[in-house]
Amino acid sequence: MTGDTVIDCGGIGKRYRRSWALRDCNLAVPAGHVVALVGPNGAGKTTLLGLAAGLTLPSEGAMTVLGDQLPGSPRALDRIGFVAQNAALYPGLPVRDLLAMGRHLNRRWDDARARTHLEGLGIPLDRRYGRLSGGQQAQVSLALALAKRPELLLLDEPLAALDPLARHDFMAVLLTAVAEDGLSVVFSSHAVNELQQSCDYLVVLGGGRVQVAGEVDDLLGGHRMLTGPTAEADRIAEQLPVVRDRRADAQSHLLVRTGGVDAPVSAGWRQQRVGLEELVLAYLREPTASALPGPRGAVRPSEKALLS
Amino acid sequence: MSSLTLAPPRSAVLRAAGLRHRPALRTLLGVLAGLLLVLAVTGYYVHAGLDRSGAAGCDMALRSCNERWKVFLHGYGPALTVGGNLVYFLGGALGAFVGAPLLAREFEHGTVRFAWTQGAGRTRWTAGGLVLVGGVLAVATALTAAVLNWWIAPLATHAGRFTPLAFSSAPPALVGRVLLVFTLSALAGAVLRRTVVAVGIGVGASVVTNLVAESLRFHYRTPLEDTVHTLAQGSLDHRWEGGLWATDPAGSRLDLNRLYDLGGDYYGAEKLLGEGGYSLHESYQPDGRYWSFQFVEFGWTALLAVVLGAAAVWWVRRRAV
Repeated sequence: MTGDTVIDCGGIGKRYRRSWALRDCNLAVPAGHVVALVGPNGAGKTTLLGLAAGLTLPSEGAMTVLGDQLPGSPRALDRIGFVAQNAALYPGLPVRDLLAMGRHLNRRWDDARARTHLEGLGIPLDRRYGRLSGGQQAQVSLALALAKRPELLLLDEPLAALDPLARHDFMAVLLTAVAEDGLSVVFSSHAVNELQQSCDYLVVLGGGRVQVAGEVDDLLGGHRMLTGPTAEADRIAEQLPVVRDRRADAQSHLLVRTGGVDAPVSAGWRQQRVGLEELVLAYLREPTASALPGPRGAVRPSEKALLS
Repeated sequence: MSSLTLAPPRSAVLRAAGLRHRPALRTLLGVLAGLLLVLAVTGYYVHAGLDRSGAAGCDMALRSCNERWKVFLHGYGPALTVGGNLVYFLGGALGAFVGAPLLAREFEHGTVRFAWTQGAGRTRWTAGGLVLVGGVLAVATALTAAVLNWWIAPLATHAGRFTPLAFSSAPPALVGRVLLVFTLSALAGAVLRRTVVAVGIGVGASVVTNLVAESLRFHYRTPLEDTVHTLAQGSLDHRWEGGLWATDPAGSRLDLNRLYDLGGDYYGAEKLLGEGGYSLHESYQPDGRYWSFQFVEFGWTALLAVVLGAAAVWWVRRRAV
């Protein structure tokens, strides 16, 4: 790996006619991770992946991939694999022809890998792409992307249309490739509940901005769910950045960022670590909250992440 | 990994385009093969009819020959005219059906996201598709036009090869027009991303191109001028007549009707031409210029096709998905 970041963008924005799909997006994804890109529909996930793949040009700001490459440049295209949403390929062509197309169109191409991959799954090479099942189509798209031996693999909603078994198979192939090649993966997903097994880096997009970016372990270690008397909730909220604040008459639940240590709270409070799904949902429900990479453990007590 | 191949040859993108467009090219060749069969069978009957009528080798200035020609036209004229007009107006539409889906369908099906993220890049991918499909289309059209030209030839025995229906069926002119419509439809498909609309634009362009070409055609080369002193028609040499006017003894130009007025009737006018110092002038393109005209027409349509193809590639380069 030549660069230490796979995606690096500063103040990038993309406007479609009048509306901004992505605005003022600052993100530096380090290499060597499986990155999950989550966010509600219309958050800009597809746009961000399209920008990284060189399919779209940003309206403002600049982006580099794989260190210092411009997205869409020949060197970047050689080294990045891309699997589009719904894995759309030419429905009238047999799988064999799709593989041959990939071989003709790429400087780096590992035909044996793609064949082994597809034969291992029992996908007939002479069948037309349009006649394969959804899971098989996704596998063919993945095989085409992996045969480029990419350093970065971008996947746009690869799991959205798949049944649970197909999802499992897909992730198994993907994670094997990660283990073998050490490639970086960025995939967007709705399946928040399946993230914990597959990704080790998380980016949450909301409303066209980056809300959360960080390694999963750091994020999980850096947040605590505090449960305690509502009367003291205000005092806690002044001391710690609160992501999500749910108060009832007697008891309150505060999801706070603690910077990796337990929160300094009185005995009346119970604190728990949270799961990835809970964390993601909390951020998605609070579009103004953010947790962006900074010096670890440097969260000042007075820092308020909850702006509203 | 031993099986990892590096740097495919530059022609590889054409082979990839061949795989991508193989179903469409098969359909095109199938349709043209069917068309050729129909042309061969019907053409055989038309030519046999012309031979039977005896109008093929005779001099059209003779009355008897004209009568034979009328007999032939009575039997086969309608079929020839319908076929000729179909080609005349819709010959270029072949390019629309092939060109419109070339890029538009990639957008409609979302396959651009695959095609444009391969190592070859979107520019070479688009250019490769246009070159390969355009090349096959040109060769297939040339073959079809050669047969078509033979099929329509009886219609030209009387009026010459410059007759619009015959001229626009000949290989160079038809290939140029088909290529022009092909790249225009491909460009429209890239811009509008709708196959059906792009086909419509291409079919419209096929008609317009031919009408424009016909209005320009006589001026491809400076016409020759002939001066005669008789109204009687001489032997036909299949020249393409562009204009006819008379001059008085002083050399000033007058309308033919004015000449008839001056002479009183046909014979009076004939006498003025023969003895009165008046002369009749004709601007024309000789039959020998036929092929140079074909290639001039091919030249400008093909050049325009290349420009439109380059525009399509340029559009794809700057266009986001």
